[in-house]
Amino acid sequence: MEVMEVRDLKKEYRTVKKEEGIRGSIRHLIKPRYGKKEAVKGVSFSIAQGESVAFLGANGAGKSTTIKMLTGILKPSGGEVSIMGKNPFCDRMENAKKIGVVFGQKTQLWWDIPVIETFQLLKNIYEIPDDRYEKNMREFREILDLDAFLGQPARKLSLGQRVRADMAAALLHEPPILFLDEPTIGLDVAVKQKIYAFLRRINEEKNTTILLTSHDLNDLESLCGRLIILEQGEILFDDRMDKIFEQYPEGTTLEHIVIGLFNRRSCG
Amino acid sequence: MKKYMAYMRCGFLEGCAYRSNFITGMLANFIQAAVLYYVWRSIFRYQGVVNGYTWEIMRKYVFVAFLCNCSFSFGFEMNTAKRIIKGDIILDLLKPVPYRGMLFFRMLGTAGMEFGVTLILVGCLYLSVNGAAGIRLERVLLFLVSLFLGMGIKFGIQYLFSLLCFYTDNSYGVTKAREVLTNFFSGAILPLVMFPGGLRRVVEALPFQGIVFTPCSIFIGTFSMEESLRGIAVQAVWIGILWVFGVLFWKKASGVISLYGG
Repeated sequence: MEVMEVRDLKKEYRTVKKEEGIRGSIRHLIKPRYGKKEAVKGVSFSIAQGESVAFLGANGAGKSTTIKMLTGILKPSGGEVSIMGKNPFCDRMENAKKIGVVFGQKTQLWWDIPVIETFQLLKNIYEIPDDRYEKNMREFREILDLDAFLGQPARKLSLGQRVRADMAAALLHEPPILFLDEPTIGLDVAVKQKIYAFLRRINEEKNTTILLTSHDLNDLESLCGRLIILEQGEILFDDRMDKIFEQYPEGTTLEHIVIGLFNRRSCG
Repeated sequence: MKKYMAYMRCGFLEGCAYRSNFITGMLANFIQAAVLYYVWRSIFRYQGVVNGYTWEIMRKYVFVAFLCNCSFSFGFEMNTAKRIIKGDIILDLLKPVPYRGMLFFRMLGTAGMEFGVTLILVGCLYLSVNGAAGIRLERVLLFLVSLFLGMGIKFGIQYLFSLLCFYTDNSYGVTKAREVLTNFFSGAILPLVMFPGGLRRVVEALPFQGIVFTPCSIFIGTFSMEESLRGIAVQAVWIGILWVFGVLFWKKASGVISLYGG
């Protein structure tokens, strides 16, 4: 069953065209000029229930923009998105119940109140029954080692603790689809491994569909069965993970191939 | 509703976490109230009645006005504005809860703390200056209704202003502009009856009076019962109008979120 279908998805940003120096700034103040930047130039793919897909691309390739459109926060400039049969932007709140999202660079934990309060809040927002909440919390506390800091406000957590708590927060309502945008950015090796082991388990046990962007290629390889490479807003590769070695036989590891691809971009 | 109660609870907890922030801010504002108090006192030494107000009325007005304006304070509004500018608002949008409702109840929770602290401080001062004489139950009840509606109006205005942050980077400017406008036009600084004719008519056509002047006049008794009920009705109408504007502006502004994508 397809849980996610994307057809010819486009996103244009308006950029400011400013000339250099004081004169340019003054001119901009009086008569601003804008240009257009196509961040995503018509991508199409579909993802089935239980797949785990890695989204790969250089910085600025359009990964985050695509994820934001899939989660219903950003309005696409063109094309269609369907998440479990619904348009995420028009049915944003309905869509929110079915997805979990982790942004490695942001946190959904409340900054100044204890982490456990955020979980309690999520329980109420998503209307999670008591027994499911207890069961999931028990599981997350054990696997993600949350106990040590549940009583602390988020501002006092280390990055590793914060991301682990964010991960639990995103999965508390057992969403069928999980989006992760660079969840392991800045984490140490041990925490990274813990996170990926956790994701593998969620994917296998609960059949959660995972779409994630990251630059940790080795971990991606072990977690994701499918790879989509974005380059300058277009899909360059979309197939099973092992197929990339057939397509680029000159590369010995995923890292080699990706470095080669990214370099080619900057030359072309 | 349970969702909103949960947000209110977190808002209250957050308010308690920020309490020292709030209390220093409030004390700073309180200096303004103290100055007003003494300025009015010296004015009334020279003139017994100013625009129908006597010193007995005015020394009540100063304190009650301060109480009416204390909730939904500046700091928390700044945070909301900053969340929009920094793009953290997307995390709020990923919840199956309407953004505005979430914001309102969260601020209401915080307001519980703000109002409680201010009530203790200002209540003691009010009683020590004016005594308990003249406080009547039916007026207190109407005052509470009007105060709550006034908070709704203040929130409606704050919400519209915060959405401006989709178009500008200056959260401080937007929030400050909102604060100055409401302070002046709501009657927080001086009672609206003191305004000259033309300005008075302008003020009466604006929503701000519902934040301070209406609840305050009801409490201190310068509004007759009929005027009080009319004032409350006007407040309710303004909440409706601001609500509609909020919906329309949100539709327009939320499409602009793309500017902060990346």
